[in-house]
Amino acid sequence: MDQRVAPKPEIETMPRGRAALRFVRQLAFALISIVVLIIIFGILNPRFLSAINWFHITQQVAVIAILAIGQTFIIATAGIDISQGSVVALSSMICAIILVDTHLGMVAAVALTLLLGAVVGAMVGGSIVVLGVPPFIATLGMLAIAMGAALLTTNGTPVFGLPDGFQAISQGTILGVPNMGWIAIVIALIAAFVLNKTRFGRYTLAIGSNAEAARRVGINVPRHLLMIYMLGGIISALAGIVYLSYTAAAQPTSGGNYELYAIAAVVIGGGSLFGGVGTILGSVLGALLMTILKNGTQLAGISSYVEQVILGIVVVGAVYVDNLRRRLR
Amino acid sequence: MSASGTVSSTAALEVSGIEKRFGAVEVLRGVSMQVAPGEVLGVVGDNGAGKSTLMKVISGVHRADAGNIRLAGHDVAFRTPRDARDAGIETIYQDLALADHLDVGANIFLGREPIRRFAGLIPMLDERKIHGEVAALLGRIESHIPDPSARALDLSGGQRQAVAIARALYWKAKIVIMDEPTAALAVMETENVLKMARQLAAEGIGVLFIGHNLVEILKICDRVMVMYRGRKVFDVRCADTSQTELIRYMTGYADAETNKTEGEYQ
Repeated sequence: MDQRVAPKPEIETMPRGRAALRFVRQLAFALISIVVLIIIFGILNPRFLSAINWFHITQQVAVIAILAIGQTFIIATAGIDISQGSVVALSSMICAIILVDTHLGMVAAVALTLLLGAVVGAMVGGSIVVLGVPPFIATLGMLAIAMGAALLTTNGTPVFGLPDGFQAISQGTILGVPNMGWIAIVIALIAAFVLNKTRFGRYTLAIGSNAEAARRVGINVPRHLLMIYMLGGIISALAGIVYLSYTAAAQPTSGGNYELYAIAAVVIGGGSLFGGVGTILGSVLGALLMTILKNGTQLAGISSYVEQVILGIVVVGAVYVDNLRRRLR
Repeated sequence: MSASGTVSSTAALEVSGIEKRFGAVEVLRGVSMQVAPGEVLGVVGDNGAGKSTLMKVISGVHRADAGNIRLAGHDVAFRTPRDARDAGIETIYQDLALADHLDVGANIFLGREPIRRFAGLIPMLDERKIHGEVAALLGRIESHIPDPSARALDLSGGQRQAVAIARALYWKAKIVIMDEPTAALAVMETENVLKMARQLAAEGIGVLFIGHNLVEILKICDRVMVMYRGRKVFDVRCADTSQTELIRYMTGYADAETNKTEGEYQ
């Protein structure tokens, strides 16, 4: 056969170099933004930089980071979960009611709440996989369902009087770091392992990248998506438990906007709403950025109403930048 | 083009009397054909002749209404594409079913990742094995893929074909179906893909090469079969035919004549 000028195969000496570079580039944006925000808020109010404030930031970031981790898996499949905030509210209500009104104990309360999260996730996943409802609508429905259910549990009144031991989740520390911070770190390490080192994680990215290709190689896409949303539900419930300990009282209307923080965190951390991409470290950095924004605006004396406006702009802006990134490559 | 001389007595794939209808439309009307190990069989025909449906029956996407399929001498019945793939029938799709965001190795092993136990307990991907095998494979097919850690997204059309072909090679396919593999490629890349089709054959795989470009088909195939309106109307060694003759069969001109004499056309 005619051998014209065939391009010479260039064998790269460092095959992992490109992947590492990609990873760094993905995180650079979040890291630089974090540094810039720290400088700005530090100037606006020096208390922002105090040790006690960073203790609070660690507590606050834990809930958002845990939610962002669940959101990372879902967004990696090209899905989205906008019900996280109200699932946090529902699960913290249920957990509080079990703790206060029954004698089942803390372990059972936590276990049952996580089970509730799995059921919620199965309902969302089921409507996506079985009924063919798009993830946005399925979780929009769940947003309303969970919020309504949270209000129904006590007819809209908060639950107080949690046992002292339960406070340890948020108030206790190990090596100066609040326990809820450690919970987020452990969840992040497990999630990073699952996403990068296991078949489950690989299939998650493959489905988000090209669901048809995944199906053709024999991956059971519906079953996998169902598991992803159940996992997402469990993680939201866990965030609800941690949040309950942090706020020391269950409010049926709590958890507002948490899904927005989580979605913004994932996208800022390099995840794409088109699917196939996302890292746990990136999402955790994104969560840190969102927490700094929330905490810093408060300390700078900016009203929480304005903070909400900023949150909305950040979400839209982050997704716009994500689109640009994909178009320009 | 060197036709491989290693055509063994057992066909790699043998189908006989395949019929398939969708509602009232008879798409395949009793197709029989075979491919030997190490042979590249061109499959040509106009749009709607039934090529794609035949390939989908062979690759387990559709179930035939009648007829049977023998793979390396054994009767097979596929319920899903997965069954066909597990049995050794690999399809390289026109739209190249790769997960764009995964790297070359992840795509070659997608759905069949090797697993090792982390701490003797937790199953995790055996990345070292994946990367080792991929490096060897890419060398074997002279793929021109510079970096196995490149994402499918960063590859050219020809390189993407190479990934799909590497997948077929690694999983020891008996039959590889290439569905218009050169349709969207530049000239240079087309050459590479044609070369790879021959390479697959050289490894003892039976290759079904579906295409429209008769120059290409005559150049790289050992044999060519022509489909027309759900039937195989011509089956010939490439050395013994010409573009003009193939076109006569593809357009039904020759078929009409034959069928008239057989008295079964209308």
